[in-house]
Amino acid sequence: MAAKGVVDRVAAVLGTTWTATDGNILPVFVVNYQSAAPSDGGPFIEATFPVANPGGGSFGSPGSNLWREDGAFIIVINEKKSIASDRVMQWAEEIGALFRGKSFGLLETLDATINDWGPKANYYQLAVVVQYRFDKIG
Amino acid sequence: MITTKVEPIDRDVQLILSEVLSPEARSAMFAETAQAFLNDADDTNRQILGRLPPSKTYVDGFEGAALTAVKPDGGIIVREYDLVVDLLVWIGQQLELHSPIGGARDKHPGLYQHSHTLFADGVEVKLGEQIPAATEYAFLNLQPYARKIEGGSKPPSSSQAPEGVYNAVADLARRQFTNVAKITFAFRAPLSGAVADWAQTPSARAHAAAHSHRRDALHTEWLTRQPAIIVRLS
Repeated sequence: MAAKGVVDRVAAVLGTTWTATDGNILPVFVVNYQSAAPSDGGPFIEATFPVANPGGGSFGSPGSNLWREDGAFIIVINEKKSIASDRVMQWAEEIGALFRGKSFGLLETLDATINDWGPKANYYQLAVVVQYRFDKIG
Repeated sequence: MITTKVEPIDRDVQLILSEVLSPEARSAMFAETAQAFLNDADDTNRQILGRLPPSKTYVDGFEGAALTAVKPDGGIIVREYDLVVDLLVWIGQQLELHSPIGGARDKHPGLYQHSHTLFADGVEVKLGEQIPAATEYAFLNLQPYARKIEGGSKPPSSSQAPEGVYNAVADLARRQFTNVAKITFAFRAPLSGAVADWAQTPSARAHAAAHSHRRDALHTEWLTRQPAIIVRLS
């Protein structure tokens, strides 16, 4: 599981709702905090943190050593099945651009790839996979 | 010539030795210099991968010969690292480490976590078997997972999504082993294993009929579609 600092920073970037450039507003669910989804059947976003690998760190300076976590989090965009794919692809591009090659304090986000996860229940899913490094001081 | 073949860092080094030296002295100097480069290559791989991968060293084409046996003129020393096995082991470990284990209501907690299967050119590689040479390797899980059998009326929840683990591990592997192989995330429909057996059950067929929104002929593919990591050698 990702460090709380990673989850908090991703949640802060996305907010509780995310507004696309086309004006659509999508509720955001950070899975570690909430597992619900909107009951109206509309599109929504989930942030998940499936892979986190704690790495080694510097040593010799208790309290100020640097510890690095490598991993990947995923922003899953759930679009209604009945809608053409153009707008969800655009949303994925916009979300990828939010994180690709950025720095959020101790969180550094690297590449962001977009993957088609296909249909799931009443939705169609696109996933934006973001690799990251997160440094902890301690 | 001394060649140290190192992935992800390749090095070719040409060594010009003085012709004043005897052939034996030139071979000894060649071997000494080669050893230094091989040590350097070992260190580089150890730093990148976290451990030293298996390797074979060839001296003028002879595996395992003493470095000092190299021809003084035109000799070749090659060390080849088996990074593909290392890559496959790394992926397998990551999938197991980060797989969903199952909740309190799960009848077989941990079953999915321990059911990742490696295929080499479509043939299953049993646990503990030597990994055969192949042009394509694929990891996928032969167990149906909980989300697969969720009702279609429920919104999807990705907190324990195997797609997420496979997709994230594929991307991380691609970054770490970029010069070793082409690594992609995809979906595959296995023809055997528990998920294929489950797809033939009446309850699974009824589930597909109710929720897949596809014609009958495509129900099996829909039911057995599993996230996969594909490794192709470049």
